[in-house]
Amino acid sequence: MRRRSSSSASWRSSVAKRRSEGRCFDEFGFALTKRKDQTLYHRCHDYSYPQLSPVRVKELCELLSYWNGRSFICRSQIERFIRMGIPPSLRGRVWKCLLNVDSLRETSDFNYRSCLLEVRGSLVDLGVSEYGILSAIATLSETQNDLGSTSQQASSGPDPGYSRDDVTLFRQIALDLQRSFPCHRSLMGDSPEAIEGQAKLFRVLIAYAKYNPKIGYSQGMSYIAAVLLMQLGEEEAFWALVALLDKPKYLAQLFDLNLTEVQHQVKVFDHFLKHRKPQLSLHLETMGVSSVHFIMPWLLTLFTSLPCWDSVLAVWDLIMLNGVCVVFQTSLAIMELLEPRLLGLNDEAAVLPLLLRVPVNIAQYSVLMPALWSTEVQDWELKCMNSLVLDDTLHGPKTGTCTHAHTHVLTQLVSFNGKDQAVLDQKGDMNTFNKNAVGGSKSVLTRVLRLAQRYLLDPAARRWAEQKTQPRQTSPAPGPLHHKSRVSTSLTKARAKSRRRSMQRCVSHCTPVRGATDDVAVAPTPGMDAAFANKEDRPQRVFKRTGTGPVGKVARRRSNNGHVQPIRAKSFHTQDSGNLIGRDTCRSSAPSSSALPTSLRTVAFSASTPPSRRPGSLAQPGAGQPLQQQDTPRTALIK
Amino acid sequence: MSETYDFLFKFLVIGNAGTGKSCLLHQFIEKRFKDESNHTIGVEFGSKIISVVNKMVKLQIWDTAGQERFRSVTRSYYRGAAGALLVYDITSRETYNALTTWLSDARMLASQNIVIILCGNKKDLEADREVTFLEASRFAQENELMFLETSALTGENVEEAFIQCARKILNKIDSGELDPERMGSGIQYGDAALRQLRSPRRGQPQGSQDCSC
Repeated sequence: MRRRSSSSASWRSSVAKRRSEGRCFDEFGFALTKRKDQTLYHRCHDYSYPQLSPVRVKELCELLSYWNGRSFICRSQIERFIRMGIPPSLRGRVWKCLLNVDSLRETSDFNYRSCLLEVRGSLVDLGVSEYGILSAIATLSETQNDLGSTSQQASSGPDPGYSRDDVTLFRQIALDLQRSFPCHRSLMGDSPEAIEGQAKLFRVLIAYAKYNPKIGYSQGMSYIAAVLLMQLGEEEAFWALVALLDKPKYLAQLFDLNLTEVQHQVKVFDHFLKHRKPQLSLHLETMGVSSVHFIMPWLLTLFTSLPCWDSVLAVWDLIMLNGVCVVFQTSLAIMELLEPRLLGLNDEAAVLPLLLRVPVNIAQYSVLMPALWSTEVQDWELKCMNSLVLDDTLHGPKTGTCTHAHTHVLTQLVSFNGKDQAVLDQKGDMNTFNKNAVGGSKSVLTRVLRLAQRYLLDPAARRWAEQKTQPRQTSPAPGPLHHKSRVSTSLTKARAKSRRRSMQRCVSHCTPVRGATDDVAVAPTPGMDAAFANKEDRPQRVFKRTGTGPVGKVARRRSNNGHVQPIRAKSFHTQDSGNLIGRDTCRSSAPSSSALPTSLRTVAFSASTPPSRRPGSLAQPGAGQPLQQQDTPRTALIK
Repeated sequence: MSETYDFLFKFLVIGNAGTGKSCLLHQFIEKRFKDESNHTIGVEFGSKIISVVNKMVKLQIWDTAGQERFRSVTRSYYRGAAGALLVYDITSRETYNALTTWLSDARMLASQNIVIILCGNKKDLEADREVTFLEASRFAQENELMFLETSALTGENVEEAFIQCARKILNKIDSGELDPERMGSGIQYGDAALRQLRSPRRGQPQGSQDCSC
C-alpha cells in the first residue's frame, strides 16, 4: 500500500522543486512573478506603505517596552502609530501587544507543547510527519480509505492512537498547507524554509483544533495562521490565533462548526451596505449578486486575498486594535472605492471577478488606507445591525408593513428630543437618493428605532438600562436580548448626553475640574478600559450616521499631524454634532474633553470653555443628576 | 467588445475538498495547470464561451469550497444552476464515498432538470487509483449521471466534460424538456439567439419571466 503514496509524492514534489528553484522574493516574501503571470496570481509587488522616521520608530519601541493593554493612553498612542504606518520589523511586537498574547498564554490551562506531544503520538501511529506534507496527504488518504473499508466490514480491531475524525482533520489541514499562500517563501515548494514553514503551520492549526474542538479546523484559518506565523514565533502565533478566533472582540462571531455565524455576518454586512450605499446595494441586487458571493473570503481570511500585501498588513494592524468592526469597515471601504465601477457594470459575470479579485489600483496602500480611515464602523452600529438580522430571523423581514408605525415612533422620538435633529437632517439627505434606494436605508433606521421602542416599553429591560447608564458597565455578552437592549441603551444614553450637554452649557462657569467630574456618570474614568471609552461617544452618533461624511476626513487630517490623539474622531465628532444641531458652540467643547485622558482633560477644558457665564443655570449639577434627568424623556415616550 | 452568444448556462463545480475543482476550472478557462493555487473560500467564479453543436454558449461557472462545513454556503448556489460538475478524486475513496451526499443535496436543492456530470479527477495518478472506472461508471448509470475521468494536470477530458454537459442541456432545450424561460433554469438567451428568434413570444432577453399567454 505504501508504494503508491511514494510514487505520487515524488512526482508531485518534482513539480514543486522546479518551481522553487531560482525564484526571487519581494520584501514580504512573495515570489516575484512574470508580468504576464501577475494577473494569474493576483499579487502586486510594488508597495507604497509609508516609512516611519527613525525618531518615530524609537518612540514606538519605547511605547512597546512599557506597553499596558488596559491603558487608554497606550492604546491611543498605538493608534497614532498605526495610522502613520507600523514598520514591518516591529509589526510582530505590535500585534503581540494588542492581542495580549503573553497574558493569554500565562492564564490559560492549555499547554501548547504538551498538546503537540499528544498529537505527535497519533502522527507516529499514522506514520505521518508534518515535515513531509505531500507524502502525509497520500498516507492519510490511504488510511482514510482503509478506515472506510474496515468500517464497512464492521470489524473493530485494536484501538489505534487516532480516531477517524483525527485522520480527516489531519488530512484536511495537510491539504490546505500548500494551498495557503502558495507563492510565499515560507510555504511554497520544498525548500528547507518552506518545509519548516509548512510544519509550523500544520502544528499551529492542529493545536488550535485541539484547543477548541467546538470549532476545529475551518478552511480560511490556515491563511490567518500563516500570516501570524510570518510575524511571530510558532507558539506566539498559536496564542495570537487563539486570541483572534476566540475573543468576542475579534472573530469569535465568524468561525463555527457549520458556518452559520459567518452567514449571519454576511447579512449584517448586507444591512450595512443597504444603509450606507443604498444605490449600490440595489444595483447589486438587481444583477443577482448577493454579498455572500464575494464577502466570504474577506471575512474568513481577513482580506489576505487582496493583492497588495502592505495594505493587508495595515488592515490587520487596525483589526488587532479595534476588532471585528474593522472587518466591516474595510469591506465597506472597498465597496465605496469600487462603487463607481460597479455601478457602470450590468452583468454579474463582470461584477463578480472585480469583487473576488479586487484590482491593485484599489487595494494599494495609498488608495485603500485613506478610504478605510474615512469609513467608520462603530461597535454599537455593528450591534444594531446584528440585532436587525436577529430580528429578521426571528420575526421575518417586515419592511413596508410597519412603516406607518415607524414614522410615528420617529416623530415621537424627535419631538421630545429636539437635539437629535440629526435624524431629520439624515432624512433630508436621503431624499436626494432615488426613491427605491431610500426605502432600504430608511427602513434600517426606522427598524432600529422600532427595536428601541419595543425595548423601552418593556419594564424589565428598562431597569437593565438604568443599570447600564451607570459607569463601568462594560463586558459585552452575546445574545439577542443583549443586542436589543444595547441598541436602546444607546438611545437613552444619547438623551442623557444631550441633557448633560445642555447642563454643561449652564455649568461652564464651574471650575474645570468640577466640570470633568460631572461628566463621570458616563465619561471614562481614568484606567477604565479603552473599549468602554470608545462606546462613550457612540450614543450621539445614533442619529447622524449619514451626516458624518466629513468627520473621518477631519479626523484623519488631525491624526496625521496632531499631538494629542483622542480615540478616533471623537472630539471632532462632537463638535460636528454641535454644528449639526446648530446650538451654541461652547457646549460642544465639553464632551470633547471627556474623550481625552484625565490628565489632559483639565487643560482642554480650561482652554475651550469660554470665560463668560451663561445665564439661566437650570440646576446645580451633581453626580446623580444625569440619571434623574434622563427619566423625563423616557416617561414622555411611554405616555 | 460585447460578446455574442446564443445561450448562457450557469454551472456549478462541487465535490469534496482537494479533489481539484478549482484546478479543473482553471484548466478549462486558461488551458493550463495552476500548480500554485489557493484553496477556495466561499466561491470562485469564471466564465468562458464555448462552441457546442454550432451554438455559442457562454458558461458561467461557480467553483465552490469543498470542506464539509462550507456545504451550508454551497447550498445557496444550487438554485439557478443549469449544470453541475460533481468531482471526486480517483485516488481517494473518501471523496468518492461522499458523492451520495453531494448528489442528494443537488437533487434536493437544484432544479429537477439540472444536468450533472460526474468527474473522476486526477486521472494522471493512475498508480494511486483507488476508485475503478467501472464502479464509478456504474454509480453514474444508477444515478443517471454522465461520467468522465479527467485530469486537470494534463488537461485530459476537462473541456470535454464541460462541453458534454452543455451539449446535454442544449439537447434538452431542443427536445422541449427544458424551458429556458422558466424561472431558475440557469439558462438565459444571449444576444445572438435573440436576433435569430422567430417567435415574438420570446421577447424577454433575460428569459426570467414566465410567459403568461
